[in-house]
Amino acid sequence: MGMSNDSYSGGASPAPHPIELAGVSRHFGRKRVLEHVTLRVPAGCTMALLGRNGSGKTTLMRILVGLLPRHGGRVAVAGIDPAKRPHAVKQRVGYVADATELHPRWRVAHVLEMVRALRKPSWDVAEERRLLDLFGLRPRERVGRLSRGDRAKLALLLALAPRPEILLLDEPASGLDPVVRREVLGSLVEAIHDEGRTVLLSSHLMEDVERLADRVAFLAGGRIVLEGESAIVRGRARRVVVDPIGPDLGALPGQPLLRRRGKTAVLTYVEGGEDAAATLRASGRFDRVEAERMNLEDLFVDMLGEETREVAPCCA
Amino acid sequence: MNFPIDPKSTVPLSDQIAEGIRFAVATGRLAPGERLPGVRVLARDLLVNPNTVAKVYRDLEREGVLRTRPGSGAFVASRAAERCRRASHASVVSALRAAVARGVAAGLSGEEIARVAHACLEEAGVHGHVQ
Amino acid sequence: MLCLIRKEWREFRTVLAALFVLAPAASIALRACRIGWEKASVEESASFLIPLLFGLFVVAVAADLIAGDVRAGRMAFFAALPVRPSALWGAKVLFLAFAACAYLAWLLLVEWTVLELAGKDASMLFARLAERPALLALLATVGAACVLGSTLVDRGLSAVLIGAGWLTAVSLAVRLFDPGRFGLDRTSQEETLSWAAAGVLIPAFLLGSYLAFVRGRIHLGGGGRRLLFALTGFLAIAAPPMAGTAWALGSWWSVGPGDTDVEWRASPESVSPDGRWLLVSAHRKPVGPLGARSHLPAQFVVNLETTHLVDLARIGLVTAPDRDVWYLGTDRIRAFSGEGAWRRRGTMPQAVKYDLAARRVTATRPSTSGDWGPPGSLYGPHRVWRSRDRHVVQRGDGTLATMPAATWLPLNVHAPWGLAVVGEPTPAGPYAIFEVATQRIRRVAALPALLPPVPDGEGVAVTPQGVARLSLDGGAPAPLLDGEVLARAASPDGRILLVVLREGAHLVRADGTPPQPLRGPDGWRSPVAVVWSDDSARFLLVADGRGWTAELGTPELRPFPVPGQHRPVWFDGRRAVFEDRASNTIHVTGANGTIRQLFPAGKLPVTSPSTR
Repeated sequence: MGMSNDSYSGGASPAPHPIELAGVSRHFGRKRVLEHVTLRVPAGCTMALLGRNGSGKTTLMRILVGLLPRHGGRVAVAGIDPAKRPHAVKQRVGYVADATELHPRWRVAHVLEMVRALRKPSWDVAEERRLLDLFGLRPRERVGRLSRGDRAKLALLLALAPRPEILLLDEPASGLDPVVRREVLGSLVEAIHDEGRTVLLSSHLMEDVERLADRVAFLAGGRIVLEGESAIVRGRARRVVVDPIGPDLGALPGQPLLRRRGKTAVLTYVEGGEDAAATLRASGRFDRVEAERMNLEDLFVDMLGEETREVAPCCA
Repeated sequence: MNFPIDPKSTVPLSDQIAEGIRFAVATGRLAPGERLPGVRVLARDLLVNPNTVAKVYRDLEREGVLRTRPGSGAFVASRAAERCRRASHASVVSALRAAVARGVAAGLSGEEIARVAHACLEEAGVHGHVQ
Repeated sequence: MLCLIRKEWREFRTVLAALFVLAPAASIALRACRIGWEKASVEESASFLIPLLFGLFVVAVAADLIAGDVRAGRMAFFAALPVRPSALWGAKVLFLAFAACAYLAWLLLVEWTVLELAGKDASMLFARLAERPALLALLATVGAACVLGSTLVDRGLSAVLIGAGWLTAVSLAVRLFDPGRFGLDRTSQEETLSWAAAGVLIPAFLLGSYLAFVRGRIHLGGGGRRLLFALTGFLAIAAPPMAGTAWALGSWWSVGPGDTDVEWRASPESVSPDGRWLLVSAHRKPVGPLGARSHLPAQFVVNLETTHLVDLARIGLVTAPDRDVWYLGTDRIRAFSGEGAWRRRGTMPQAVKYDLAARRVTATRPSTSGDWGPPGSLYGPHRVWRSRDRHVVQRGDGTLATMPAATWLPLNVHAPWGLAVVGEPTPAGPYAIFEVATQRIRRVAALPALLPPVPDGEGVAVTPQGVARLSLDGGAPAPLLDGEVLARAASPDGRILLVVLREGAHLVRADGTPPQPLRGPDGWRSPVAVVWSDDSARFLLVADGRGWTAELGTPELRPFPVPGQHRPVWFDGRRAVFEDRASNTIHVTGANGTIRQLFPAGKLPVTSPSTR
């Protein structure tokens, strides 16, 4: 009955995914920001794009919306290439940028009136009113006087009211107080539920990511280093804590990421952690071998932090 | 319907939600035949992805805890309470075991642990035979 | 689209309000404080106030039209919305256009009202303004340039500077290609430029702005890309007309020896004193494309011996002040390609001294009569250079004398010792004499009393009916020769007058000796043309399509080969240069008697520089 997990597996499905990147690269001068990025977001799925500051998340979003040209690769948003038909893409996409600039003397009502006229075919006036109420925005307020939270809510409103089939959200709740974050989260939860809407979200607020994301993708060094269903990725990851350790660790099973803390080593396994722990216990080289489950924040810090080192694969 | 969920816990959210529903069914807060909130409503209340809630409902239905009627929503199954109690029983027992093991490891004697257990039971108004 | 225009309106509301209020304020302030209400009129409105305020308005709005949104980062906001960049741009430009028209109307209304309230007649306002549409068009061009500037940078002031700079560069480029060279008249040039501005530059600037906006990724920065697109758009519209005009004028102006629609001229001054070089001028039709007037003919330097084209004069004969030396700015011809097509190659203008000193006497047509009959003619060794306030006269011995100008009119008689007799009606006396010898002016009441005592006391007057001797002491002229005078020419040294009557030629001297007839054919039928050689020793006469020459000392007219009834321009006894306007040709009779035409269509042989 209903949907099975397989629909999110991202396997070879004949229908085009609403968001597709294949081999996309982008560089600014010498700096290579994106390097052959391949990513597919299935229909109706919410994917969280995780990465350090400056890892290229915003660049990727801009390429998807058609604001930035790419240097290689193929992009399809709702089946359309944003470089060739940016107008068509923008009509189907709700985009929240990481900074929205408006004339400070305008009133909220004017902004709404203008964007409503520009997005006329799909703009839902009832939805606009509902969100205005929900967010508590006053139409006569001048944009320059809005608080940060209100401005973020306005940006979200402008993206949600036309009921787009695809949402691209670039850190929609960053820098907001917990109350506003709750409101934003609530409206996003409702927005996600709306029929088959596909969402690509980039955020640092790991709690929100845990709540919202069906799938996660980790972006580091311009590449996607890990991607999959968030429950599965999270479920498979293990931190194996071993102590005591000497200067030379010896052979380690699998391909963990390694972090040393004095006499203790923390081995992070994306998969196969339990087996590796069992192997290490059996080898008797260490007094304590503990395998802990991880949440996404742990995985983020371990995978994308500088402290961890990759360990060369060896005999398992 | 509300129960605390911790997104930061290493326990997956779907497990937490499923556990919460099972507990409610086991303790009778959700009576057999009672209608559960819709996926959208529960997602909104809990602030989680509706797909997660939908998955939980599907899993619980497969377990036999819930029964869905197309168009009407999800209802507590008739003999769900028993099943849930058994599942809860297992998780509670393992939690007790873990607590006792920690006490032993911390150096508490068997009498101290038993005394604490007694006191808790009396506070909860449950009398039982203690060895 | 409408909502976008409304957005512009909301952004510029305050600026517009300020400018709209400024109009009546400035108008009233100007009249009240500077000019005064009595002197108020449509003049300062039409020529100063309205253009100034209009220009200010256009620049103020255009400067921030696009730059304002870019600076505040709003362009990124719009870039993410499903709005076509062309719609954004179009809304801005339309807003500017509407606002400018509205402001112009407002200005007219304000001026009219102010003047009417001041009790002045404002009805001429529209008419005066209509006389200067070019100025408003120019201001609109400045506005379009500011729109382009606004697309390239994100600060309003920088936008204005860039726009103004661009426009200035265009004006300089137009001037550089120097329409003056093509004889384009100053005023027609500026009038043309103003209309060209409106018609060509405004679309050019707007297209540049459009391309830079739409394709320049204006929300991302990257000014270089924008500049490239702006240049492309601008040149796409502006370059073809400019290039086309340059080509049209250039091809109209450049004259080659093979061209048939020019007028060939050779003048006595253009033969060098040593008789080696001849300067031939080719004048285009008077009025060419765009009203270009051909002031500067093309000039070719020809070797008289070989009649080869030797050089091109880019700048024509130029006199050094107070000297009789003429300079030419010339090009070196490096190659001459084939028949018919003649191309100037690798030119390098240099000033070359060709020593073409002026020697000629021109017989000027008389303009007033004296008491002794209808006008005759002047002869004598003089040359008069006329400027606005002086005449410079060359005496018979070659020295120069100056006399104040005004309405000196040459009279009939000029005696060989260098007295210039001129007349000017004034209240003090109807005539005046300027004595070249003493450089004094004397006024006299009547002509017979004009002439002062002079060394030999005699002068000669020539009338169409004959030649007569005048006594400079007065009295009636004594006839010397009778008959229809066909031609007369004075020798360069002024001592001998050659008079050609219908039945024969005579040499007349002013010293009192009787005229000396010359033996030759029995009369002539056609008009007669005469030229003396520089040394005053011989002359050439062309009549009835044949040439005759004689030397002083021999009374015999000998035949001389001439190309027909062409006007002889120069003669040195062996060679002669002829100009004929009817056939538009120039011929040279060489030392061996052969007659050659200069520049028949495309066939002139060219001398290479080494054999000059």
